Amino acid sequence: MSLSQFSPPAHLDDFDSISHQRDAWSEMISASFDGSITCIEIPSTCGRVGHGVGKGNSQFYNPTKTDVVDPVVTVDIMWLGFPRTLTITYGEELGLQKADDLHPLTDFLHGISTTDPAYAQLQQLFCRPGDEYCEWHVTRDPASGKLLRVAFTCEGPEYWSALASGYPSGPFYYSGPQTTGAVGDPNKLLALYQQLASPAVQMQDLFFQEDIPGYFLKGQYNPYNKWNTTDGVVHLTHPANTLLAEIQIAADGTVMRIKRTGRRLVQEADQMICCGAYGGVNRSSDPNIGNAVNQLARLGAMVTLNDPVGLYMDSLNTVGWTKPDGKTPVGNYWQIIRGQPGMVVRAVYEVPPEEGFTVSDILIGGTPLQYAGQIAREIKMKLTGAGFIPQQKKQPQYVPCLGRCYRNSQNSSQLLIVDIGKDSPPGYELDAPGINVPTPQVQAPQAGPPPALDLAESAAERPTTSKVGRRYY
Amino acid sequence: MRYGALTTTGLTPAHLTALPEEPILEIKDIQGNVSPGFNKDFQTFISFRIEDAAKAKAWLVHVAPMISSMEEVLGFNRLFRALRARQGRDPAGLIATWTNIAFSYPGLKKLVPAYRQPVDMSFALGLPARSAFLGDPTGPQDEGYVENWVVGGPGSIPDILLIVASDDSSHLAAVVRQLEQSAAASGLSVLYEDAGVVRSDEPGHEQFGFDDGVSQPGVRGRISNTRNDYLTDRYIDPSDPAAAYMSRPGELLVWPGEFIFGYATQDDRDPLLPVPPAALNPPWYKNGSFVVYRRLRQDVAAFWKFMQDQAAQLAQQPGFSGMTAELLASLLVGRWPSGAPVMRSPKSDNPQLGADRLANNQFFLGVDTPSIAIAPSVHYKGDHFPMATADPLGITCPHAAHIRKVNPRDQSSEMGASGDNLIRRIIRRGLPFGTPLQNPLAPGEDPLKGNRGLIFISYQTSIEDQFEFLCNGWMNEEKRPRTPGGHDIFIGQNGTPGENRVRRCRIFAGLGASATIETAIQWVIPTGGGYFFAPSISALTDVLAAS
Repeated sequence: MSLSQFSPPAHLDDFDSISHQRDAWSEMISASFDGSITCIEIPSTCGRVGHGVGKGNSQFYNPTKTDVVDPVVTVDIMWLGFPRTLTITYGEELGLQKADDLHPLTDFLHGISTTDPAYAQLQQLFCRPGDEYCEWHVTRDPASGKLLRVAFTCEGPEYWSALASGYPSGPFYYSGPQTTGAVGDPNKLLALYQQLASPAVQMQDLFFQEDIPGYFLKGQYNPYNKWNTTDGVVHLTHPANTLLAEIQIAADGTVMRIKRTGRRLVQEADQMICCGAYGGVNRSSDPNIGNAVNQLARLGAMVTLNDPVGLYMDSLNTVGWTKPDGKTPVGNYWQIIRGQPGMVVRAVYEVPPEEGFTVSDILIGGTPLQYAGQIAREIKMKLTGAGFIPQQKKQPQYVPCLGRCYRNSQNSSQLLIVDIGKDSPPGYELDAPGINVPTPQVQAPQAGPPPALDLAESAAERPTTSKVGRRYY
Repeated sequence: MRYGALTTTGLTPAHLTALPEEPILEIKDIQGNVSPGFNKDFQTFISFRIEDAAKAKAWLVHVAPMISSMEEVLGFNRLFRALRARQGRDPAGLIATWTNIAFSYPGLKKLVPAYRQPVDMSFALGLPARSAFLGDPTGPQDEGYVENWVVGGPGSIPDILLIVASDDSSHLAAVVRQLEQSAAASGLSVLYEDAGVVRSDEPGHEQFGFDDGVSQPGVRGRISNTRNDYLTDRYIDPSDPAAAYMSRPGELLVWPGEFIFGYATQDDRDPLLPVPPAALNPPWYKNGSFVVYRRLRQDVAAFWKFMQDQAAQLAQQPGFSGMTAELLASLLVGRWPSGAPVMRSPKSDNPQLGADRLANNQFFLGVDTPSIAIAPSVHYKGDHFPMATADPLGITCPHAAHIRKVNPRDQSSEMGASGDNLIRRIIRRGLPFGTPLQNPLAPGEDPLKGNRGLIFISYQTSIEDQFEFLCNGWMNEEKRPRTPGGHDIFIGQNGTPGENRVRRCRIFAGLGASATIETAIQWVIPTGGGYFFAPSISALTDVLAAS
């Protein structure tokens, strides 16, 4: 039996009242699954170099097009809401401070040049720095500086862009089939923004008022509108934080990689991400997602993302959090605004006024709660994978490594993935992260001779992947 | 059975021009229980309060020469091993009595009033303030509630923790008496005395019956300028790439700065990369270490009754017929009572495997485990036990099993890739207190009325990122470090508001058959403890004892 349709994240019901919208969402997710499958089978179809697993060999599957074999096992793949990249760049204390800052979008667009005609306009758009799918907006008391309220989201921008126009618009999200006739419902979009951000939101605030050449057209939904950036938070803004990119990384995780000499299978999380050159190597999420998925694939499982496909806040760990007296455990100040327990997409942390103290007065095991990031650190983020063992296991297709990791000579925690064949970047040294997980030799796939990586091909300038995916951010 | 030690280093991995040199440890200055560890059958833990700082300093001057250094403990251990190898048994008459000392934050401030800037926030706050964060009970009537502790609660935070250890119980008693007398004369009052004793019926086993301390980090570092004179003996053949990463098979090497201040620390990505130590504040932290002391009472009868009842219920479920109390408990520990890992012996205990220190820790979790070559000079008979096969779903060894919760080994976790696991390691030096409960499955009258358990002692340089992380981050979190798993049923605590301290986890009989284990029974109850700093011997004499 296969899944009849993809559901909206967390089974949110906004689409229910919009004509064809549930169908459109499902079409988009399904096409993204298919696109990710094709990408890992034949990488040139998604602008990548190197060899893929070959047509029909993907162990990542589209659940609406695949009959599963019981038992289907689901695995929650977890990471924490505070972005590791900030901690390793700035250290813990400064990282907590900087996590609240907004950045020009251009800071995080990989490969963009200052000579790009859109650069100046893009620089005026803001996004948040958290690249682990958890973003937040802080409200502080202007007089005392105390934390009053933190709103967290892990909703992808695609959902909100789809609300606006049926299918997400702009270059970062979706370019697949749009056959359902859905056109979204801007009024619904506005109503939700007024509910979540402010009653003062106006329709024109939510749409681009002019073209941004090569990126957005006038009239398209503006994910970086002020109600979602400077003045609040409604959904994710960091370019790496897209739902469709998460589908891709899960697909990438199913690819079994071998070192190019000795046909040795790569089995450790960091080594896989360096070798496969997918995702952000400095995050907690991507290495863990890749490894968890790959382990299932190595068992011969077919792997997918569980429906409803989405990224979620599982829960907040408040063990040891007390009221200002240092003894009384805090009440439940974590309000789920959108989603449901275990599949939260929007939550607010705020102390009810009758308690007589603020978020800043809470103690976490005796330490003062000064920054929203301390809350984010205790939020468990997740995506849920699912897998089954097919009656006929697929012959594994081993793909040679595309990249290797270098570490920053000044900051050993900071890694960089560099294509094999390219020069070592200045200020970086070759690294081999991960404990010595065995790299057993594997047999050549029976389909043909061992695939060889053409160094010239890999050394050539890659098509920019700045508009899609999570690489190199 | 003891083996000879290896003296050469391993293969250099491709990304390095040479294996990084391990630092020479100042073995005269580092207290010996950190490493190699006292490893004595009888250990007394005395908690003191300083009533008069000046008199206490005089006492410290008097006691300082008795504080056993790493050099002394190593020397004794080497002598003991050499004699044992020749005689084929423990050498009679060779005994040692060791003493180590540690100070709480309030204790340090009494002695060094200018001391203000601790390295570790948890140390400054102290264990009582962190107790709830560790998942300890918070109900005013709960035995485990910090205010009801027998030592270390808010009103009785010790200033000094003295650890006295000996092979001989009467000699230990004599030394303890002398120390307490001299302490009393210096205005130090005894808050509590905890008597640890290795089980005479099952040496090395904790009160529930399981071999304890099987897996410790292999601490990197050299003890002299002599080539390859390592603190932690190396057993792996240099031709095996594992030799660069492990001391024994499965015993991963960790840079000493994770346990001793002033030395290179572990990088959280590249296990071979020594990270230069940060500047120490205060500088006299050098060669010191943080000590976590937790007095954990163990309700042995309740533990085994639960295992028995639960196993009987499980045996009715498809896939679990044949479940026994011992099997269930072993799945929740991750090892059998002998120490044999369930990863290598899923169906029954294997005491030979449990006793074999070159095999009982040799397993990965998410990948097939290969054989590792042991150096010929070790004269190892070989590891012929079944090798562990990849278990990413936690079918063979549940993800919630204690040893899997606190050490994900090769597996990634919510923190990232496998390298992060090495920055969480702690050195454990605890031992039981109280005589074991006879016939735990059918106990008669208990003369101790349940007052037995574990004196848990760990050493680390970050209480927050190591010890506390293991408790709050992994053991007590249902979905960390991996799923499908659960809470650490064995020794974890669930302090999540609204969950009534229920711990739950999933175990698998196969891909299609799983069961949920759930209990609110608290069979490990914290009843005392503290966070301490074990200074170097020179810091003790030059700073803490100085007027």
